Amino acid sequence: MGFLNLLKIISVLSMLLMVGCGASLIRTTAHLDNDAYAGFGRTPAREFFINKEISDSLSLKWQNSVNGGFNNSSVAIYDSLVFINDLSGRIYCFYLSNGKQIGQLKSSGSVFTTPYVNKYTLVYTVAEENENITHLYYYDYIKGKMKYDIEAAGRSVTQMIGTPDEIIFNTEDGNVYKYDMKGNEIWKIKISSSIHSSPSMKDNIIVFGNDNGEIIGIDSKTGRILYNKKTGESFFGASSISDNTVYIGNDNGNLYAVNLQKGNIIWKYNSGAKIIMTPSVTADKIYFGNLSGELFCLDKEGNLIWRTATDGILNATPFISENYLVIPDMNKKFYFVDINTGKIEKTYNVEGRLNLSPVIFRNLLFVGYDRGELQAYEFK
Amino acid sequence: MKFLKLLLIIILIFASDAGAQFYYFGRNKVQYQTFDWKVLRTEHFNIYYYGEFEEIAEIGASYAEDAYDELKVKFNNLITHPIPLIFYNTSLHFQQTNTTPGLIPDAVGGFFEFIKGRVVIPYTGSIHDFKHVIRHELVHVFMTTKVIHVLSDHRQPTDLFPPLWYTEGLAEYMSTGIDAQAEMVMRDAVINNYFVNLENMYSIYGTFLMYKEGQNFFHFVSDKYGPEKVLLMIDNLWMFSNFNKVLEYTLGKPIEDIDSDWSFYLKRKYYPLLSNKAPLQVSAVQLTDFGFNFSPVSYKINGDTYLYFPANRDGYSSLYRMKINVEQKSDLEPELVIRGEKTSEFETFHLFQSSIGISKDGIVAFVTKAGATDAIHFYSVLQNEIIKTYQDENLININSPKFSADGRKVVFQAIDQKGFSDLFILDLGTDALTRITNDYYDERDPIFGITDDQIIFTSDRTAGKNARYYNLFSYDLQSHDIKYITNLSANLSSPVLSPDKKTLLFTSDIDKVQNIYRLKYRNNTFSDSVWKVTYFITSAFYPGYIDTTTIAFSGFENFAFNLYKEKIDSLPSDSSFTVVMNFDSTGGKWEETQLKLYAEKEKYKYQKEYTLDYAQSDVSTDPVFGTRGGAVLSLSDLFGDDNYFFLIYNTASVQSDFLKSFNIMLERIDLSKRTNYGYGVFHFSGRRYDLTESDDYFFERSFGGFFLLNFPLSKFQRIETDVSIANSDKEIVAGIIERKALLVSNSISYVADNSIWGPTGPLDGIRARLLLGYTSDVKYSNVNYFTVIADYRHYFRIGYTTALAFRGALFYNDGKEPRRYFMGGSWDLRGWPRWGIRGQKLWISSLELRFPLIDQINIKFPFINIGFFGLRGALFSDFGGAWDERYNETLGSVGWGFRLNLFGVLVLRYDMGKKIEDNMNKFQHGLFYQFFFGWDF
Repeated sequence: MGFLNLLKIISVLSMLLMVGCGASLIRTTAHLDNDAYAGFGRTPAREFFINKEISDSLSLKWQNSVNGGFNNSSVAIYDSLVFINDLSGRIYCFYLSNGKQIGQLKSSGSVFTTPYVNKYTLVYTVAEENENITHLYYYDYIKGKMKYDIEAAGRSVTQMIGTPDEIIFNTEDGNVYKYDMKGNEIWKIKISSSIHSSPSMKDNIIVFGNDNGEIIGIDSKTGRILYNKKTGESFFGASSISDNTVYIGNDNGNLYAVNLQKGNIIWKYNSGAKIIMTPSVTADKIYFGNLSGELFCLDKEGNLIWRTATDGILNATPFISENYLVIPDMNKKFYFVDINTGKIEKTYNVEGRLNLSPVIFRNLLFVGYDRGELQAYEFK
Repeated sequence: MKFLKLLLIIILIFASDAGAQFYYFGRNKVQYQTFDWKVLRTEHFNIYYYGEFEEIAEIGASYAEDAYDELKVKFNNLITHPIPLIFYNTSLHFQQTNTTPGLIPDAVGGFFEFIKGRVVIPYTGSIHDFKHVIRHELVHVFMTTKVIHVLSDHRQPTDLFPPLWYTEGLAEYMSTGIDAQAEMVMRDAVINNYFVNLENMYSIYGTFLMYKEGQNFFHFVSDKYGPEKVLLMIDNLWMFSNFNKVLEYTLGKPIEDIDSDWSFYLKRKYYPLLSNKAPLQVSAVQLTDFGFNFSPVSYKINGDTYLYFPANRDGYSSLYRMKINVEQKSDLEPELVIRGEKTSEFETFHLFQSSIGISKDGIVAFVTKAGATDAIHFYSVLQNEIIKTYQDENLININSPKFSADGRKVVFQAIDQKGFSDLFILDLGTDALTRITNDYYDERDPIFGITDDQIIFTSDRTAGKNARYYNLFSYDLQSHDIKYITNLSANLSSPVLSPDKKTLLFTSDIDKVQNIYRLKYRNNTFSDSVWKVTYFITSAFYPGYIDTTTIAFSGFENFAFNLYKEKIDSLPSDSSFTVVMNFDSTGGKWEETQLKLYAEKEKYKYQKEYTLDYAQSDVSTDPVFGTRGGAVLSLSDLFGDDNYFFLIYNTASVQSDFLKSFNIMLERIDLSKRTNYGYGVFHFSGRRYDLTESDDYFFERSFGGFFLLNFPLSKFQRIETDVSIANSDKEIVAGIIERKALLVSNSISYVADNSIWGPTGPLDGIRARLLLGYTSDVKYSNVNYFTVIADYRHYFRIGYTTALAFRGALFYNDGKEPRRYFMGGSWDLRGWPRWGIRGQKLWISSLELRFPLIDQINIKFPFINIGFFGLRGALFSDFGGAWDERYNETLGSVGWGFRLNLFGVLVLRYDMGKKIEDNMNKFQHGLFYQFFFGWDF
């Protein structure tokens, strides 16, 4: 083999090495955006809806890949930037307009939570491998610099709550933390059971379920437990809040409506199979699905309005508009469902198993599937 | 008993010869049938079945869909491609499958094959068992894909699978409850102190105990830590490469504490049993002391009472007898009556599923697999010979023959081509066969009843509130009416009438494990109450009367099945444990759901579907041979019947040699029929080093084709033939062709193998090969020689794992330019240079004593615990000689050595001793030491 051939091989190897070791950096600019989709469910109460009608006709605008897979989180969008977490410990930033990658932040563990974008600061948690800790990162994406790196006990495997002043997250081993935007711990509380239920918050009350089947309310100002109501089996489903009521599903397949202030159960509806998604709640209805692939619409008294069966698994939160509900099915497709009748009006097939919760922002729909494929569709 | 059958497979060390079919020796997987495969396409499955199995296949399809819907919820996972589900209508047909290359033992209930994602399941006559296995294998499918998704989502290596105890324990936990067998094994393990905790689970790797402990562990986790924790362990796999850490993290405790909790949980559950139940050894008289002993029947010869029973006491299942004294404890050792599993007529005793019967005239009826189907053999205890054998090609699997009172008829259970498990009566005088039942209910354990016009049997045809439990029924041969004898929410088996026909004994799992119960027969009717006869902690099976007051039975204790006897007249006449039955709910019958629920079912005739089995390519560069590359790939159809192998590589050192340096081979092997055949073409070109010829490299270019044919006479014997034609150009000095030849070579061989193996090699049986061959250069007459190979090995069992092994072999080539054979080294003539003794003719003889040294070595490292099984010793002597034209000298060696089996796949060998030199006239000075690998001869 000649020297030239050797040089070619070394060059190719070097290129591969460089591609595999891209920098951990996001540095870009953005305008202030008051309509941003700044974190999971937009607000701490979790609002997965937009007050407008949408078309059921889509065209793929762009598609890009991330390194790891997705869980049931969603994109966060601020101005012209799209942020997404993946399970290989990375946060990606893409241009909203064309999907071109701006940069990525790498960590050694897994990022389960949708990052929270507070103006120019990106906040996210990383659950570490091999060690039972979480790193809470505050990253200035204008300067491209990490502002704070806080280590907390336990692994964060659920969605966090972000507001302009505070970050709240829980960990798998039962810790609940509140930090301010300067990385200072405000309070911390440990509950008696593991947590796999993402919290939501309204009126300074944080609500989530735990593995012991309890619904827990915490005063977000003090970290004091307000109530702890034992229901049935474990909660792997997340909560959302509308008006003064919390909605949360559990492993029994029950969707509970719980009084936000007192924690008493107002009603429950049994869907027949495990619920792990966050219910989508509008002014007068609740939409949720279960792992047997059934989609439900209830009124706020817990009465069934309609139910629709699919052939897959519904584990990601549906996004609601005034005419359609968009819901991904793990069975490689997402549906446009008439919110009044429950009829599946249109089905879009993709190449992987969808699990990212969809988001509609401006005229774009974001979905994600296996192996970290993120797609942005444009409404026609 | 179906899953208990795994015991025999897993525990006995002798099953490791599976898959040796296409090697020098080895048993054969015989394709007695050619299956007309059809495909039933459902929403999530492609279901493959054949023949008349459609009804059961549709039941299986319906259940698979139900299981899919349930498992997708539990795993939060779905499979987005159709899952291939292959059904065989009996376990005997299943054993012919080529979806896995090895021999499948009698007891395997199904498997999930990872490479093609196939689930392969036999039907055993029981819909309940069928559902259990379908679900068990689908748990594997869902778990495997879930693990891969979790790990790949987190960008972790996808080979970080949970350990076997987790995967099999989970499959059992999610597919069945704690049934009588699981309860029996766990009770026995805890009470008799052989329960193995998590930290030491590696020491029971792959055993039946591991399956049941794994299953039990998940019940414990669910009870103690919550049901969600069971599958959360899979979600947490990405966090640690060590599974114990995943376990510790998920349950929130160190492994030692989890073990303590589990141990306490089991002790608290099982120790109270000691207050009102007894071990077998305490309350019954033990007759045998080791092995797997089942289904005793008694007969008096000249005033002496003998028990006849099938057993596996040395690795081969056989028929034994033992003389017993009804009154005393001491009995004689069992003696072998008919040796099974060495010849084709007694190929397999179905130890765990079939009992034996005996007539008033001393005829023992027992079942073995004999060729394509089972056969009933009739053995006269007075004449000491088989006097009749009955076999019907439509009755694939036969179980539990029992005689009528007059000895002229036999009733038995059999599974037909549809998979139905039904009852049959054979008239021994005329060989007329009468079918009594014909449906998918599972009939078992038939006996003739109060008169020879009545059949008593167990069946899952129970309707009403106890639907699908195995209860006792009677069949009137005159009116053809089937009536309930019992109606219990428990499974009953092995009914037997007392000699005076006033009592019907049977076994049942009414109180969780199998114990013996009785019904009274008074005033022409069976009582509606059931009395418990035995109170064993573990289990009793197959009761049989020795006389009106004494029974013999098989019992499980200390992880062995032994025979026991017990005086039943000494038991309380009215036990405190009585169950009163109600027959109000027994009207009607249950019907199984078939696939009609699914609108999109479609049926097709199977067309071969080929997929890749493996593919690998490589390009390498080294300073001596330069750059070279190649690829190998294999593909086969869904059933593994039609196999293609493709090999290509290039050895060119300079560009001009590139085209002529391609080495290519394409081969097809067809295993679909009894006669297996293969053919292919090849082109090989490059420098070679022929170990048998010289110490020089030479260049050879050869191309041609070959044809192979293999006809198995039985599981133990086969005929092999092959023909090849090859154009060979050989040059030792570059540019000068030394030898051109158009070689035609053909051979025919007879191969026999019924050996069974220990951890390092064969321990019993024989292995033999006789080959006759002829090789000729049909174009240039440069080569022309004939070949004789005669290789015979005999293994004499001295103890359970001690054997004397003998080998005598002659390898003989004679003619023009014959090839040389070679020997020397650890595999044959020990002490001599490895492969250093060469000749066109060669003989070798070896004698070796193989014995156990240490059964198990467990090493605990800080990060992992490893167990090694079977450190063994050997004393040996080898003699042999090799020559071309004139015999020179005889060489020999004597010595001793150690062998260690590493993980079941590799045996390390260390030998030392003395060579015998100078034509056997003197021992060498000092000792030789040889270390190598390989199985014992």
